[in-house]
Amino acid sequence: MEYEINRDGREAILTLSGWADTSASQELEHSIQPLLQEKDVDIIVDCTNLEYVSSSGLRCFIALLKSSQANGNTLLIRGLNDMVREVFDMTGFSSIFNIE
Amino acid sequence: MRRLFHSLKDRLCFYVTGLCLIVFISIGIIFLSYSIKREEEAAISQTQLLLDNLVGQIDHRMDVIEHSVGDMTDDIYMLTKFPEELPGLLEAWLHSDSLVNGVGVAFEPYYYKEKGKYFMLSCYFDREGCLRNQRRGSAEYDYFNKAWYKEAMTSMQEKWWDPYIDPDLTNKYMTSYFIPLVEPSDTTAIALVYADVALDTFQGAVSKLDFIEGSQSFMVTEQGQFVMHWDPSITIHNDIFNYADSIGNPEFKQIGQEMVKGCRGYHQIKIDGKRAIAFYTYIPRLRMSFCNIVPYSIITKDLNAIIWLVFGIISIGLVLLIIGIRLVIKREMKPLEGMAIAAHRIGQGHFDVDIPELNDNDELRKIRDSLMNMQGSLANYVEEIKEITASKQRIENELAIAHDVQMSLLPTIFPPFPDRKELDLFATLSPAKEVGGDLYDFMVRGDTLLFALGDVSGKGVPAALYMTTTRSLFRLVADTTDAPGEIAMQLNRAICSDNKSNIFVTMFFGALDLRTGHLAFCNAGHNAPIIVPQIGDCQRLKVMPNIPLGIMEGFKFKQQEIDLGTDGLLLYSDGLTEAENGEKGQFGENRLIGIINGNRALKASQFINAIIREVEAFVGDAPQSDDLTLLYLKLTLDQHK
Repeated sequence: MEYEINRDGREAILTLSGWADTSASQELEHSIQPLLQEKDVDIIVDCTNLEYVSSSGLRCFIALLKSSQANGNTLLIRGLNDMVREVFDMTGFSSIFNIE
Repeated sequence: MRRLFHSLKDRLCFYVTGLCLIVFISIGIIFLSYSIKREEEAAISQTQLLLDNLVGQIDHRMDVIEHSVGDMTDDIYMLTKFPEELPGLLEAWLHSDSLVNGVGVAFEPYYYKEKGKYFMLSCYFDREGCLRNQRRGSAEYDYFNKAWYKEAMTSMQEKWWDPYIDPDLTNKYMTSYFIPLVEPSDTTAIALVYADVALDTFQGAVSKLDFIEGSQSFMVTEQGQFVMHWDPSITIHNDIFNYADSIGNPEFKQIGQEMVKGCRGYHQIKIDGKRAIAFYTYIPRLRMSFCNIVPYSIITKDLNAIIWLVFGIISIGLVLLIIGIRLVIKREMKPLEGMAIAAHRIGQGHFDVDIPELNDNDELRKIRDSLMNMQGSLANYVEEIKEITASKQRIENELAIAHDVQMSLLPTIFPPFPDRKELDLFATLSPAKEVGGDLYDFMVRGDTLLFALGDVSGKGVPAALYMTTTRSLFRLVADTTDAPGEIAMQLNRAICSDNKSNIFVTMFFGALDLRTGHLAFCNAGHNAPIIVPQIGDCQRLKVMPNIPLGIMEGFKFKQQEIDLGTDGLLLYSDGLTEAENGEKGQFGENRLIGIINGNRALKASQFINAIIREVEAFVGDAPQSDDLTLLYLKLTLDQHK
């Protein structure tokens, strides 16, 4: 999978694309570490090109959610495709994340 | 070539010897062709010298004959008064001169009145070699009208007559020398003195010359007629052109043309298919051409011995060379053999083997140094591999033990409650690695079956550690309550405390009343189980998602209820629907529904095994992508009643 972090003032856009399976998720978890340390930013996760997410991939979302709550950041997820949205629905993530 | 010689030694030896052989043979051929040329030149100059000599000799013989005939003419003049004495004189003279075949004198008409018009005396050896003394001249043999007589007497000059065949006398090629006999007082010719010479007389001159032994000679007239031929059957009536045609040799014909033109020279020709050189020269006094043919086999006769000598030397030289090369190569390559043995021993794992010492700083030394280097590196490498293998083995052993421990935490004896005939339940778990993060559990308390199936996020050892914790917590919590929602909330609280690694667990909890088939359940972010009716479509259990355990402390998990009755209920982890084959295709829900529909009449264990078989067939050789867990249960209420 591929990912990209773009800063624009208060906004930090994390763009995910591809296949967030177990092996890819470990790398992703590592690379979003800086984002977890940020304070007072609006984090937007752009999942337009995210094709699949495994339970490990979901852990990254949890990490983002927890750090955002702790650091007073906002977290917005957008562009979920049907398959990923189904995973979010099934696991109840839809109810705890702010999804656009 | 490589197949022919298995050893490098033999191969090197072969190549070097081969090269030497080529060089030797080339030198031999150059030497031989040079020698042949030399022999050829020698033969040419020798033969040409002899031919010139022959011309000289024949000149000399003819001079002798001319003198002799001159002397006789003087003798005849002195005896003209005594014609009766003349035959005796001629006879004596013929005997005295070995070169002359016949002699004679022809007088002018009526020189002796008493003898009549014709008076010609002729003394000669006939065909049988008998001496004949004849008086000739008559109306039939009117010698005054013969060309030779008329010409000689008119010119008053001594003269050699053109070669001719005398069929009457000898049937040989002849030539004649004429001297008019002149009366000194009035210088009138009174008679013609002549001497016949058989041309084969000159064969004596030929045989006296030291022509190359084995060479063959012939002589032709200016018209090309054979006067002399090495083959006696070739008679004087043959001419060289017909002869060349008859033996089919145009080269011979060419030589004939050169010869009748009076040329001197030599030509390479083939006689009976053998190469030869034909030398020819014109003999002006005889108006004939002489040819001597020398076969090449004779020219190069002396070379044969030299050829054998040269080949002998080359052969002996080659044998010595092969022996020498073999010895040298063997000596030079000896270290290589030692190194080959050492390398072989190293390959067998003897890293302490001694590699032969070398003093020269050459290519072999480089190989030796590389070998030493390799020996050291290999020893280190193998040591490293041993350590890695040992530690890997240790980890594997520990993981295998961990697998056994993890599996022993799960209920694996089926049927689990033999006295509960109404309950058909089967579950299976197969981790993607040695240990995994999936879990299932169930227990019966009173008439209630408590069951749960969960999936820790991630896989491998980290997930497995959480799985064991979760399973233990489930047992603890389930001891205190039958309500799935309560179980979920207590479990969530326990997992959330101190969860820094953001691991979460999706889990389904159920409490089934075994008497009524009433099911209370709580879904913590897990995928919805499938209800399998005996007839009709399968459908997902309508579950509220809630959220997975471990994410949010104090989350209110909502419990739901449904009458399951005798419908089957299949719980599974996403390792089932997301099982991947080699092409990254997923097993998928549709495929699962299809299998369920085809196998729903089976008992729980057979039903699950059927699904597992299909998954295995789908995945094929691809590695298992995620932990795979299934649990199926079904009640038979009628039996209970």
